[in-house]
Amino acid sequence: MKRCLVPRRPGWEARVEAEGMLWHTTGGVPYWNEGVAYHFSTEDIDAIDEATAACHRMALEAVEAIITAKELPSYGYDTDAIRLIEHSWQTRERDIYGRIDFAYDGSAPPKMLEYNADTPTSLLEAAVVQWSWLTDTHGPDATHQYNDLHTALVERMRALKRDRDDGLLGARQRSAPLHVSCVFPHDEDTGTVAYIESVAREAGIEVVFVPIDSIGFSPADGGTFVDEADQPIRLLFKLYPWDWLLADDYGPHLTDAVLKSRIRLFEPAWKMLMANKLLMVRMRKMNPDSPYLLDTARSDQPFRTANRPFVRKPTLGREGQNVDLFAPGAATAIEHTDGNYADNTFIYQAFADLFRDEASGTYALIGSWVIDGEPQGMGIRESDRAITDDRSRFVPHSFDPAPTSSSE
Amino acid sequence: MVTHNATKAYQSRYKAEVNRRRARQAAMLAGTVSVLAMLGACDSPQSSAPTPTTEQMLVYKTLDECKAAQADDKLCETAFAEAWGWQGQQTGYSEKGRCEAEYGEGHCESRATASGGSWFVPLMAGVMLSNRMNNMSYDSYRRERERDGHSGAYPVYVNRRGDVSTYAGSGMRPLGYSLTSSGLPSRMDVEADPSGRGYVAKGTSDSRYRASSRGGFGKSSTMRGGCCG
Repeated sequence: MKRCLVPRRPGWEARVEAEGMLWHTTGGVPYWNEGVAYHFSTEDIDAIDEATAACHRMALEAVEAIITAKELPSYGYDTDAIRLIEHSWQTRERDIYGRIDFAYDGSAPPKMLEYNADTPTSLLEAAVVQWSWLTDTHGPDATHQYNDLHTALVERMRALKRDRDDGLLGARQRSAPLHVSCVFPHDEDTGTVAYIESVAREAGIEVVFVPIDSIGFSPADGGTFVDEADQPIRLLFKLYPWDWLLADDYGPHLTDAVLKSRIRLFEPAWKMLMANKLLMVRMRKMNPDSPYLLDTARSDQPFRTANRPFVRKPTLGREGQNVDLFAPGAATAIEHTDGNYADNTFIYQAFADLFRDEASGTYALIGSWVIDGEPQGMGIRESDRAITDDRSRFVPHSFDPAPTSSSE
Repeated sequence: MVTHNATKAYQSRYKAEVNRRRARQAAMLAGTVSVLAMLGACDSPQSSAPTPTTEQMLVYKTLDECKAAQADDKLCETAFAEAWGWQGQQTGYSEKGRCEAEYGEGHCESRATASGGSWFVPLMAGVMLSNRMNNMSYDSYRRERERDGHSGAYPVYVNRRGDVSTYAGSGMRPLGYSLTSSGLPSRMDVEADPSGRGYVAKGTSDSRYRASSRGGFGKSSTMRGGCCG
């Protein structure tokens, strides 16, 4: 694994905008940074792929164990959330996608940092933008990128259409279009949802967009969510966290409508447990010897006792907010981010080194995608700090054969 | 659990898929995406539902019947092709029996999927064309179609009970008419489907699920800021 400086494509802004990526630059700083590319060996890719499959499997096993043992209340869920999680799990609601973030330095096994299982973004960048970068810069036949995301997503959407048409998603869902929703206006979330829309259309599904705060509620048929044209929403892809949906005013209506199959959501409700960082405590307990898991606890005590560096993260935190790094023996954090999740409970996790490029002092984080339960590709985000947040930069990658470029 | 290993396997798989993928991505970019259209249009999304307006449709059982009534044969050929193409985009039925239960024995036909499977749609009983297009030349018809996606021709079906229906953007929808002793009605007053594609019975496009409230989602994002990552 190495960081390479590479020439940007002339007119790259227009190119990535044409692909739907309108948020390539924030405050004059490129978020999509194709002046840098990471290069991997085939062994690196295999290691990441295997770690992804293993972590996804361990996460599923932990979800199963928690639900079976009726332990959901100790994960911070109220009665409604518990009914939703149990219902979606017991009826085997199929998910679409998720992204596991790994610390990987090119030698030690990848270490799972978190599972963005409910509302992952950076999907368009990973699936489309970095792929066209590869074929633009290495020729149309280039395939040396760990990225089968687009194909896998279209296949998943085809399966969703088959399930819908066969009535497996519910009787009311049979000929319903897929509604897609997120916070609007918001370039990045809207862009991600637009990509999901285009994938669904490619799979033959009708799609309607509705901003999350424009969704309406009609008492008809026992309580039905509607779009801006007062058409019922039966299938909803929401890029908006489950725990937010339930905390919002429509939360109780949503619980009722989901449990009575008047609406079906993607991701399914059990994905909110998979996205909960407390799950990693359970995963570690069940797999104390996994090379891919970090020691994770509900208290800082084990780390302080052992004099080990650790990280404190909010259980439902996002975008690297409210994360603290503690050095061994230090009472106060050596690195810290602010945010809106100070009210959360926290997990404590052994510190893992991200890949660090000595020359530039840059850190890199692997975002490895799981589509329909299988590892299908990755994206790299770079940061000037050890905590990757929303100021990180997305950079493309390739693996052997090596790109013709100067290594930094 | 499928075991993944060997990057070699990826490479060969990619090579096999690369052409297909290239074609798909091209299709993807060319496709119209409602979300981006909204972004491009302006910052404030349309806040109220459009008021449905009644539109009169002309109904033709056959292409010949259309040609006899219209000034331009090419208009009729295009209209029938459009209706046929629209039918081909519909979900339909995965089993012939279920289709026939609704439309009667021998009144359903199979369509092949790209992957080799098949699905079933009712036989088209005719085609309806907006009266606004009546006696247009083919060229003006095309222009009108491009200007307004609502217009154009859509298939009509008759079920076992004699009810006339069509595929709208929201699926198979009744049109509020029934078969008469002389067959299909020759004119029908209908409403544009709010999805932007096809038509539904007068008064049914928005009345069933009129929202009693809006805005019950979204509060958390104003508290927490950006949501997803």
